[in-house]
Amino acid sequence: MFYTVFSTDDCADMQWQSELLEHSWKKVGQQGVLVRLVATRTPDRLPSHKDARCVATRFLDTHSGTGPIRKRPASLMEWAFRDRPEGTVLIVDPDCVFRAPVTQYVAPDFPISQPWHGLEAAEPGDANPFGFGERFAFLKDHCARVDLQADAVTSPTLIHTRDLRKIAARWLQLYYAIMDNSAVQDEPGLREADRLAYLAACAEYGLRHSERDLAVDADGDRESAPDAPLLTYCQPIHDAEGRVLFDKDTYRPWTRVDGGVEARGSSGQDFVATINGFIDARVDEMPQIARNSHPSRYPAVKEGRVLDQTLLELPEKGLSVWLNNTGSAVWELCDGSSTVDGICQTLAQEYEADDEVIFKDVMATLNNLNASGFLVVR
Amino acid sequence: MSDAALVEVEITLTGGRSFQGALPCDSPILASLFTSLAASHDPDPNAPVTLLQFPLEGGNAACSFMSTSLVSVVTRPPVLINPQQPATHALPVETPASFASHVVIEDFLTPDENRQVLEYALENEAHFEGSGVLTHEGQSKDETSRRSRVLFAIHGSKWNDVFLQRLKLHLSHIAPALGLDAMRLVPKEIQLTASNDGDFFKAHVDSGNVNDDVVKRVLTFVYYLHKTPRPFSGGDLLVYTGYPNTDPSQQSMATIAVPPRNNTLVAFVSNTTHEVDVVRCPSGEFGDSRFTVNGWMQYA
Repeated sequence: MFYTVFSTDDCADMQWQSELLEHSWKKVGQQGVLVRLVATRTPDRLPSHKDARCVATRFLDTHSGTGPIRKRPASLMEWAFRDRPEGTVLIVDPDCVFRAPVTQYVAPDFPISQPWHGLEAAEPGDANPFGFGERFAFLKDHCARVDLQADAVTSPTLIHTRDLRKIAARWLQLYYAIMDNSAVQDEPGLREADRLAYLAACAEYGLRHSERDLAVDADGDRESAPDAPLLTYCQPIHDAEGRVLFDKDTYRPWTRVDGGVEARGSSGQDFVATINGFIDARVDEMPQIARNSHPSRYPAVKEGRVLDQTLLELPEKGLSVWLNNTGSAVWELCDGSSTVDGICQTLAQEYEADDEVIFKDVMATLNNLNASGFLVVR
Repeated sequence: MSDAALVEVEITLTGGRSFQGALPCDSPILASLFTSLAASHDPDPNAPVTLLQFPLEGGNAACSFMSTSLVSVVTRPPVLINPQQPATHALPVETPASFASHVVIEDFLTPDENRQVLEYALENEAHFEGSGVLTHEGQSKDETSRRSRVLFAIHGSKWNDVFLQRLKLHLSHIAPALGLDAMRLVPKEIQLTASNDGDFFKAHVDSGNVNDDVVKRVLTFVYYLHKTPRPFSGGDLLVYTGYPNTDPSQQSMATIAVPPRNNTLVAFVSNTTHEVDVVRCPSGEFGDSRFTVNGWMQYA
């Protein structure tokens, strides 16, 4: 079996990334199953997916950090031992998409991983455990040996489930050791704790990786790694003028990325095409609200306003959506007393805009909100 | 899971079918059986007829029947029933879930840690002492039940922390598999055991009701280490898969043999009947022994 596995928590921000990854996984025809590990306190209320299998793992109150990556070793370990999968695991970050299927399976003792070009390659020893540098000298208090050279590789990784079970506890333990040490409390140190702990655990167990370009940065050119099957968008994507075209931290979920401006690199163009294709497919699949129906706000939706924008959250589904000024106006009118046509008429008078434009905007907003469960329509 | 002593129970239903099993003496199921039996002799027309379940095959199956179908209950040893306590209604039915008899974790330590623990054992040969069994009278050197050598000093060494910290990380999957609550488990004891030619440990449970300390044991773990290639044969851990029973002479109970593989940890519920098969070590050398780091956890 081939497992594509990514680790998340159940916060609303993770849903669009997870669905985007799911969309690309399906589109390229990736073999096997897609597993979304969800660190959660409410395992009976997992996010919903069309194709991905959601697996609840414990939400660790200690050592949980602030991001889903930081829960990854614990979630992977729990999944690997509890569900006892057998086969090849492709471990990916949530902020990546497929551009081609991964067809390579791995045998036990032969993991494959993305090269980590920035990792130091100094001689390992007490002052330089696993070749990580002096600030990780504290690791010698946690390890039987530190004069082992870690492989300079990073995520994505292809690893056999037996190897994953072999290193999982040690990966988690070293991860905690790094997270707890004051020498690496700066942000880069914490961000790298997960990867470094993995590499140290693999070195201790004698697991050596073959290097292969599995992913390419979406802000670069596809020619830099033409065969890489994955695109990562952890860094902002820029246009030809150097302006930020897409940044996952500021992206408004469930909206298209401006197609009028091209990304400066071919990988960025691939990514924009992927995310826009995802949004278009999502809209196409939405049930269309009838014009004479009465939409009203679903009672469990939480609202917040920031300037002229509205944030809606649906905790039970782990969903959130930002509404612009027009979207906010539509939302305010969804009180169950007005029909869709009535909402359009009210807004047409208020904004003095073309009826057809108003109708399109209102329908797009209502269909989107209805498909995600933010509305009740009768 | 109850730490109370177990009693063998045989129930007979209308039609003559009988079923046998074992229950803790304070089990609500046992109380329900007696309550139903008493009610059948003085029927109350307003009392509800209750569905009862009797666990079979160590909890892997259950016999379900109406309380009015119960004809007799035989217990070994006899169970004292309080005649002053009126049998007004059946106690809640307890349905045992199906859990694993044991959990095996391969490659528990890193290869270097595994090698260093073995070195530690060999360096401390002089401090190993003859093992015993715990009875109501205290520690006893009963070589008809157990023969091996034990190093208690590992409890104060760095290996105590290494083992318990690593084990703690595994509790997220071990505990649910065995039906235990991971959040309540805390370390109790740890020891290093060496078994050489002819050594063994006959069938027993680790949480026998011999003293307050032992009865608290909830989780047992056994970590194997030895030279490679393995210089001995035998020494399998035999885990009884039947319902936990204080009468280990019951040869009819099925067992699973867990061979002693270097750097492998086995965990099971402490009231599971288990034994250590005879070790055959032709050299008789201490360094060729079957070593185990074994210990227990209890509920906080």
